[in-house]
Order: sequence, then structure tokens, then C-alpha cells
Amino acid sequence: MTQSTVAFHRRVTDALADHQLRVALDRTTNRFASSRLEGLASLPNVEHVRDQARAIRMRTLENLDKQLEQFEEAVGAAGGHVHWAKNATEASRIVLDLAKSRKVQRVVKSKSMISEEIELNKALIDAGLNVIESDLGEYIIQLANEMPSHIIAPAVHKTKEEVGRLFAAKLGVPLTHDPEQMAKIARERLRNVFLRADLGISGVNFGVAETGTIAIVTNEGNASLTVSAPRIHVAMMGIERLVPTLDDLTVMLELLARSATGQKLTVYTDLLTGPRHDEQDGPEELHVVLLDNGRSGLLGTSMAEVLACIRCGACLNVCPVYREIGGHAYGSVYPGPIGAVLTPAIGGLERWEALPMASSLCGACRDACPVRIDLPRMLLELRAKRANANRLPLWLKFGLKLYAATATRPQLFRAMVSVSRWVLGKFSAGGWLRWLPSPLSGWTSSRDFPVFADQSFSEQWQSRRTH
Amino acid sequence: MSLDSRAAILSQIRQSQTRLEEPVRNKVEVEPIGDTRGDSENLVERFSREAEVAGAQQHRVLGQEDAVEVVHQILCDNDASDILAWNSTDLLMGELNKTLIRRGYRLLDAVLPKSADERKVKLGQLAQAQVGVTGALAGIAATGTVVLASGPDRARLAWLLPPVHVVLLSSHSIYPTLSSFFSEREDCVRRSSHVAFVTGPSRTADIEQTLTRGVHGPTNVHIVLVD
Amino acid sequence: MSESSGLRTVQLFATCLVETIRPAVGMAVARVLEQLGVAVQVSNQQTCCGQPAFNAGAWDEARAMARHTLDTLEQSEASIVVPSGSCTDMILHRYGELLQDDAVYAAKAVRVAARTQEFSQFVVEKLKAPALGRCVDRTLVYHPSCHLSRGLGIREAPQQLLNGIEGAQCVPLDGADECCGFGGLFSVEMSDISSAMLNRKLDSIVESGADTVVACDAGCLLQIESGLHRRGARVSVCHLAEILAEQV
Repeated sequence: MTQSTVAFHRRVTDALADHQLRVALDRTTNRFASSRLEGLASLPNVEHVRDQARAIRMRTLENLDKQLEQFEEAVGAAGGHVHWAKNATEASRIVLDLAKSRKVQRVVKSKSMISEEIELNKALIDAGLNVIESDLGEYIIQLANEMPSHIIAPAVHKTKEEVGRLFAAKLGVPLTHDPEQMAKIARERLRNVFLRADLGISGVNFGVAETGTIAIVTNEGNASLTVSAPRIHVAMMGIERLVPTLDDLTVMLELLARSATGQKLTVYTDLLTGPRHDEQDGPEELHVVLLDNGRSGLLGTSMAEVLACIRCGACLNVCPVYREIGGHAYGSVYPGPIGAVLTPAIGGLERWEALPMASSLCGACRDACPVRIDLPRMLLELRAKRANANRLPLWLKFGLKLYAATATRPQLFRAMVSVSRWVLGKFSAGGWLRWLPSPLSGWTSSRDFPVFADQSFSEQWQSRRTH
Repeated sequence: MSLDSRAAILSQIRQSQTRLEEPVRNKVEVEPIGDTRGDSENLVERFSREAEVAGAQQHRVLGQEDAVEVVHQILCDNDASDILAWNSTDLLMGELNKTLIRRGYRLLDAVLPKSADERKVKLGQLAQAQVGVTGALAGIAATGTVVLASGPDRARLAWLLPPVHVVLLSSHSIYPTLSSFFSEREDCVRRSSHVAFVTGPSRTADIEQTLTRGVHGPTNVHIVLVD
Repeated sequence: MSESSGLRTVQLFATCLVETIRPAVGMAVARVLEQLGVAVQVSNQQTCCGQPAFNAGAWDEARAMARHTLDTLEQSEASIVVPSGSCTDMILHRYGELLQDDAVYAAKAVRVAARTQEFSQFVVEKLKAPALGRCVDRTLVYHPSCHLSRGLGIREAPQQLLNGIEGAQCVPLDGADECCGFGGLFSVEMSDISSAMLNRKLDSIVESGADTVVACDAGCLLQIESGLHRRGARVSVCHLAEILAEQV
């Protein structure tokens, strides 16, 4: 087992032992999953809309070069600037250089998974900048120095008592367990942060190629403030997060909130086109940082459709594995079914080979995905990649070779079945085994194992026929 | 450096296209989404229902003068003295500002200076406003959303900063759905650097899934629907 | 194969789990089909559809087993009935892509898939869902396996057949759609996650108050029965075919 796989198993063990986490996960995933169903029910022709959404995303990916060029031109025409970053290092450097040249000291951020993917905050803080997250969930995990555990609700793993204690310790406020009180504290604190920030960094839910518009959705309004109060706005965007036109954007917007939280629309949907025009307020400068970081390499491959993801989190909420282990166990910024594919796809199987294995391939994610991404298919492909790279555990590799060799030779197969039956019988009591040796011992840690039947099916069938 | 990366990324993308098996699809014909039926009365009803679900407070008035009175009442209820208001002649804001000044309210000017330090000072001042009063470009009936488009006399911060937002919406400007809005008003993103679709007051459920209002955006949203 | 004569012939593809651990399922399928006027053939060449290797990523091994299975099933022209959602899904939906670079076997896969059906769907669609089975006062709860419901879209047929059993009532299962945690080798490679998922399923089963849990996949049955046995719970576990074949 590789080191990263060992680490994964350790995180899983910790997660499964964390009772509070399990309670929180149940509550969150149940709520989101049932809300999603209600939300979709309010959309006429929802299956057709999903088909359209998928077509829009896939077409964009196929034409991504032209779309990006069109987007860049349109952003420029509106007075903004587009920067291109091949990888995490470049992206951080672009933001840092910009911050330095504009004498930025204080940064306020709204939710950006890209920025977490590239560890932007760390780079900025190491360079001496003050960086504060404004989304309440992100604010909480920033104070706790943790990674997000859910794409939509980053702090799901925390109880209100834990948040209360965190606020008291880090903010010096009186201890409270009342979520409303805590939200009020956050509002007051962050109000100052917005007003004093030199730079606002946001994510991008969708870019519109035709108009150079970036669309950002929130319920809190923190993104609206992040992009409006500070003098400079930097928007971090994955190269794949484009749609061609405003009409296409409408399709995505109708599905995004419904799939994520069941709302028809989030409270705030901000469409930003360039910096301040001849307007009273708004930022003086708008910079869009386009990040590749392994995405372009997936285009034109069987993994391309993972880039169609709109980051709604629906797959997490229906995943029976995510529900047991939560987001942190995955060890990646992107958890759940989408993370199990995206993370090894852009980060490499060497580091992330456990993730595609952590699935029973039940298919609930594929059913829930608004753009119908076939995640189980890609999980299987990643597993095949692992096997082809000769990274299967030895027992599995040889076990399967042996199994295939016998399964293609029926007489040998029957003989092996008899032998196995005899062996299992020797160690059983009352038809069951309470213990199997490694590497199968995982089964018997929580289950018994039955002996093989006295007569196999083909033996029974044979004797039936001769009577 | 960014230019090199640009070339490298585009080149990688173009290379990937040679691997595509099927020809590149035609433009996706997007059909309008949602229920676009309804006469204007239906639209207002639907809008009201959805806006209520979203947590906005609503006041329906007949004509400009009544609108002014309702706004005045909301200001009183909130003990407001300092206000951020849009100053446009369209969107029903016409006489409103003059009236408010006459009645003793202080209308803060929301123009942000270009220099960094002066901007922050001004922001601090603007943050004192208790209420923001704006118009709306349109309403969306399917979701109870108001569309707020920035402009020369229409500051974003007017509705974002204060804890109370009063928005005047003509009942004739309500579109059935998001797609019906865009099919007519696509150009809004060309005119405004910020077009916001706002559905009710600010909210979060980030702490134990408990719904809380007024986290960063306004805590109270009053929609004044003017016939 | 003439329907008007009332007799048709099908091949039964038993599956490896039925072969080794639950042969009663195979015998029950045969009994049910024969009761309905269908003759049953079983090839002595059949072994395993290859899914365990496929799911583990060992696609060369999976291909070898797929080719063998296709050859076996092509020995007869009769329709094929499979008492397993996951094996049926493998044959219908996975063989094609697995063998896409092998023109001969890709064509075989298409031909075989065209006449392969999962057991409950076969009974309901081809044999028009007669009421089958009699018990004495049983309370049944049904666990829909993932490949059956999501992979094959088979949701109504098993329920319909269960409702037709005389002397048995069906109770709902909380979280029915949730995976039992088997997932083949997942149950061993990620055994702690698999166990956590199983626990949830077992809790629902016990809470339902049923005395018997029914499913259409031997993999789910293995997972559930092994867990119930460890718990010492008094709930019987059986395949849909077994309970349909039961006559009092």
C-alpha cells in the first residue's frame, strides 16, 4: 500500500469513529438531497433542461480554445484583464505580483475552490498579506485552519458548540452557541474587512464567453461585497468554467441552486462585466485569472466530461460513502464522487489512488448530477489505469489472474470450487466462519462468512438431470 | 509569462481536439425554461408569492405618491436618518429623493473616489447608512427576484451596505422567467458592470444547517410594488 | 421459440455467487420458470461474467472471462435469464465497451445482450407477471440493488411480483435506495466503509419489522445475510426467486 493510501485509510478510520461528524453528515446530506428533489420538481421539463445543460457544457469543452479567446476579448473590451496560468505556482505568482504592484496589504475573499486547490491563501499570507475569508463557512474553517469538508457547505463537520468555542478563542468574543448570534458576530467583523480591503478575490461560477461576464452566486452576499467594496477585484476561474452565451448561462443557473440546496435561485446572482464604468462605485480594476492546472490535458480523453462539473455538490449529498466518511477523509479540496475522479485526474493516480477505490459504484452520483456526468464509468477507468500501471495490491493482482485462469476453464473452476468448499468447511462452525485470513480479514471484522453450499449449483443441476 | 502560458494552454486545448471522434456539435438551441404563461396580474401574484417565500417584505401601491409614503414609513420604522439612494430619473425614483431630503433625511452621496485611501474613508462613511433605497430594472415572477443594474446614478453599495434595502419595482416590469428576461434585456450586461439578481434578504445555513438571515447583505428587504 | 405453443426454452446463467454460495437460487429460478411453462437449459461451461475483475480494473482478466461467457451463452439460441442485476448489467452495458477493440466478440456481445434479461423483468415482461408463491404469514421487506434499479432501470417488476405472493405482506424499507455496501471487492478493500454502509442497511431492515428481507442480487444477499448473522438477528434472507418458488 502506498503512503497516501495508508493515510487515506487512517483518515477514514478517524472519520468513522467521529460520532458528531456522522450526525452532522446525516443532517446535511439528507437535507440537501431532499431539497434538491423538491427544487427540481419545480422546474418544468427538468430532464430536458438537464440534457440541454450537458450539451452546453460538452460543446463548450470541445470548443474551449475559441470560447476562451472570445471570453478574453470580451473581458478586455469591458475594461478588464485576463491572465493565463498553467499551474498553481503561476496563478499564485500572478496574484502576488498584482498585489505587490498595487501595494495591497489586506485581502478579502469570497468562496473560490480554485484558490483552495492552489493554496493561494498560504502564498499570500507567507508574503505578508492579511487574508480573510468572508463566506461564513469558509471563515469558520479559516479560523480552525482546516480544509472545507463539503463543496457547498464547507463547515458541515462543525457543531454549533465547536464554532462558538472557536469564535471565543480566536475572536475574543463571549462564548455563545446561538447560530444567529454567531452570524451577527461574523457580519460585524467582516463588515470592517470588506471596507478596509485593498483587494477582493472571488471565484467564478460561470464565465460567459460572448459578453465577458462572470457570474457568481451566493446566499450571503459576501461575494457581492467582495467584488464591489475593494478597489481591485481578482476573479479566479478554472479554464473549463465557461458557457458560450447568456442564454446558456440561464440554463445553468436554473439547475445550479436547485441541485445544490433546492432553492430556485440563490439570494444573490451577480453578473459582472468589466470593472466600474461611468458608475458611482465598483472596483477600478478587474482581473480574471484563468487556471489550467491539468485540466486541458483531460480534454479529448475519456475523462473530459469531469470538466463539465458545475460544482453543485449534488453527488456528495447522495453518495453513501461520502455520508459515512465526510469530506476531510478524501484529503483533497474536492471530496465526494466528483473529487474521487477529479482529484486523481488532475493530481495523478500516484498520489490519489485510494480515492477511486472508495466507491461501491452504486451510481447514485450519476443519477443526481445535473449535467449527467458518468462518474462511475470514470471511476472504473481510473481503476483500470491503476491496474495497467501495475499498482494493484499483489494479492489482488494474482488472485484475479488465478480467478480468470480458472473461470475460463470450467472443469478447473469446478475443481477449485470443491477445494475452496473443503477449506472453508474445515474452519467453519454451523456453516459460517467468524474469521478469514488477511487480505480478506476486512470482511470478517464486521460480518461472518458463509461456507460454500454442500453441492454447487452445477452439481445440483447435474444430479437433477440424471434423475 | 502569462503570454507563454496562454499559448501553451491554447495549444494543449487545440491538440486535444484532434482526438475528438465526433465532429464538433452545432450551437445548442436553448429553449426557454419555465412557465412563461400568465397575464400581468398573474405575474404579479406569482412574483409576490415567491418573494414572500424568499423572505422579502412587500408593499403594493398605486402610483408614485403612495410609493413615496410607503418608503417614508419604512424609513420611520427603521429610525433611519442616513440613506443611500439611487438618483435616477427612471425607475420611479424621480421625485422620491427630493421629497426625502425635504423631509429631513440625509442622502449620502455614494460616489467612490479613485484614490485608495480616500475610497476607504468614503466607504466608512457609507457604512453608516441605515437604509438603502433603489429602483429595480425588472422582477422575475418565477423566483420573486428583483434585478438591480448598476449605473452612473445607481451605486451597488446603496443596496449592499445598509441592513435594510427598499426597492421600488414597477408591476409592469415583471418577467415570467429568467430566460424571458434575458431574451429581451440581454444588453443589460453591456450597460452595467454589475447586474444583480436578488431574491430576498441575505441568509446562510453554514452553522449546523440553521437558517440565519442578514449575514452580509441586507437583513431586511422591502419590495415596493408600484402599479 | 413459439409462444403460442406455451413452451419456450431459456438458458439460465446462474452467476458465480449462486454457483458457490447460494445454489438454491438457481434451483428456485428453474422451478419458477418451469411452473410457468418454460424449459430451462443450463450450460456446464458457465462460470463467471467477469465483473469482479472488471470492477477492480483488471480488464484483461475481465475480457477473458467475458469472452468465455459469451461463447458459453452462444452455444444455444435460447433467451438468457440471469438472477442478478449486477451480472445482467455487466453483460448488457459493460461487455460492449470492454470488447470494443475486438470486432468478433464485440458483435457477440451485442447479439447476446439482445436476448439477455434479468429474472424479475423476464417473469413480468415476457411471462406477464402471474401471481406466484404462497407463504404463511410472512412479512417481507425488499432491498433494491443498485445495478438492478439504477443500472438497468428495473424498479417495478420485483415489487409487482412480491405483491402477488399470497400470504405475505410487504413493508417499506427506510432508505431503500441506499447501497448495502457490497460493491464486490470494495467490501474487502474498503471494508470499514462497507461495514458502515451495511450497518445502516441492517438497522433499516430490522426497524422495518419484517421477518424476511428479499433482494434480486446474490451479492447484496451475501453482504446482508453475513451482517445479520454476525448480529444474531432473526431475519431471514432470500432471493426473490426463492420466495416465489415457495409453495406451502
